[in-house]
Amino acid sequence: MEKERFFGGGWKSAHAGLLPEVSAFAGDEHLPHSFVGFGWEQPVHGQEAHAQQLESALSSLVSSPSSNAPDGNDSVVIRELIGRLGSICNSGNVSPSSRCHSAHASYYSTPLSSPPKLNLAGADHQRQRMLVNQVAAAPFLADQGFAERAARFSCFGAAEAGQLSRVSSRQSLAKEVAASYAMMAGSSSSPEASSASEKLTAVVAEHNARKRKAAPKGKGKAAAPSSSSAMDPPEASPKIESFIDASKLCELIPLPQEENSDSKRCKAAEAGGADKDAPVKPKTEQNSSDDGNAKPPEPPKDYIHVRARRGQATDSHSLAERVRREKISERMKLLQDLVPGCNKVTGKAVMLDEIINYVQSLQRQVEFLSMKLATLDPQLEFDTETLLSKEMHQVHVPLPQQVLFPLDMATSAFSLAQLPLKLAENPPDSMFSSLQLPPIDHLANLWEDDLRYVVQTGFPQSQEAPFSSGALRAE
Amino acid sequence: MQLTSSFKLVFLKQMLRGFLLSDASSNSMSFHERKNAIKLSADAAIAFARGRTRWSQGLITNLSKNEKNKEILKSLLGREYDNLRKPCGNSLKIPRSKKILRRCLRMCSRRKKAGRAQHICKSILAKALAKKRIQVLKKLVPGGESMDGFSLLDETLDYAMSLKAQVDVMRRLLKTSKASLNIKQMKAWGQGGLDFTAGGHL
Repeated sequence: MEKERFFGGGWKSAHAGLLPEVSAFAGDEHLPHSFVGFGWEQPVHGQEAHAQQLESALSSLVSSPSSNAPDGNDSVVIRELIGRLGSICNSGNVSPSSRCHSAHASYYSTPLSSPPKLNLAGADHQRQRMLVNQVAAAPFLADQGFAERAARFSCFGAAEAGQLSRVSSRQSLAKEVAASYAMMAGSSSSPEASSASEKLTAVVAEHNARKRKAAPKGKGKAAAPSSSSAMDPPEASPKIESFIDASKLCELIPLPQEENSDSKRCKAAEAGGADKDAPVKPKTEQNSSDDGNAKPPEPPKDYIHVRARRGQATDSHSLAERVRREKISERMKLLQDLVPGCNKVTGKAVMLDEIINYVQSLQRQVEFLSMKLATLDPQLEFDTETLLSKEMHQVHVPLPQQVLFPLDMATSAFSLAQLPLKLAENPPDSMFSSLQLPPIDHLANLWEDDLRYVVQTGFPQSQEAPFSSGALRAE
Repeated sequence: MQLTSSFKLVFLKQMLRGFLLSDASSNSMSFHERKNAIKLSADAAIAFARGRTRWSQGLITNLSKNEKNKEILKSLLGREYDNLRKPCGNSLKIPRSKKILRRCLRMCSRRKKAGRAQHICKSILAKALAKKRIQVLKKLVPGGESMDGFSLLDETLDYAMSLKAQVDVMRRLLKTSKASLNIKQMKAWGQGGLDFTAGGHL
């Protein structure tokens, strides 16, 4: 029945060779069902089933090498995996492309039920190298179908970056997938595949690092260097070994921001971070603050994922303290940008000093400026009042002050306020000239009229006189 | 991000309103009173322009402590007065409970670090220094007493930016006022000169 589906699905003829090997792969019956059933299920059946089967296939793929003796089966398994992943793209391209992408988003989001965290590093190296060699030797790799699928990988890999960023991190699974993609990329001779795999590994590494905001731009960064480095296929084989090594996987990703935390996270994943927290010092705080500031600020969520780094305690108290410290250092950075001349200063206390000085100086400036404004001739202040009232008259609003303001505040104050700002934008020496030739005509009239009647009326003692004169002027 | 020209416009508008309302320009006031009135309108205006933040609420509260200013503030701010005046309910409780929690944590962590005396001294010293400065900062930022570490830094950032905008606008206002005064004077002299020559050019 599955064989019928296999043929009915219109699988490429070059892969017909897979089928007898699949049937020969009788040792583990769990595998063929999951593989074959997955590969030829119609997309109509739903992406979740699709995804879960792939996931179970992958997990069983990774766990099976330990149980199965012959390596020939492993090569079959790898080929199946390749076929599977190709079919994802095939089906994805047959149906609207968004489904393919959503399939992968859901794939990543389905929680890993059974398999424990698996490290592809270390013990698996040799096996994987053998697998790779065998796969490289296999004839079907040379056909265009694979290249086509590899091209599709790059498309969905590129498109996935945005969606992956939304998903909570699943380090182990992501690493498995990346390693398997890497294996395929290493075995293929097409530059697209390796670039796709590098993009995917980049995406996965970003995914690991939980840098949601940095993911899109990191992808951009990764795409450029990966495309440049992927240009030479002969170098694929040395890349294989490096790809397969999970810790090096992180380092290869050419994202300058994330390298430190990536390598740290990889180490944490492997080592498990057992040591007790070192005593907190401001200097070590700066270190952690530097690491913390390598990340963009966490988007507001219900709760914050905090991962214990290597060499730090994992109990909740110190985690909370660390979160708090990182928040504070984040804000200190922001303040550093604001306060001028603070870039070279390090250390919390000194920074706080600078900030205090700055705020104090600003407050003093406000006092001083208000004093200066007070020392101006009262007529000048009065100038602005008459300006305001003049505007009021121009829009035919009754005289009393308190009533004026609610009504036409917007128009009048805007035109009034625009004037000082406009004028103040010019350098002081050109102030006079700018007053003579103001950019906006009615503002010029405003000043001119005002000056004229203020001069004419002299320097009135009370406020009524200019209003009346203003009223006269308006009429 | 926050220092947009619209923000500055709003601030300027409110400040000028405040000048008028508080009678800042009449000759009846002494210099000192005038200065205070100007400062009051400036502060109220910046708090109004910023909207509802902790420091703006604290600022209005501080300003309203003076009874005379209350009336002015009320008429100036209108509806916003009540919004700005009322600080958040739990602002005092949170720092208190956090202080207790932090004290407990510190004691626990100190017990763990019992063996490393030198580090403790350094860390304690550094923390004490930082603590002192945070206290100073709390006094500077209006309404800062009832804030904890993070929010204090946030509010400081906000407050510093608003202060900068305030200084900016006031400086410009000063400049243009001075310039217009000079022009007025020049015109007055010019007029005087023309009248003197009794020319009928105008």
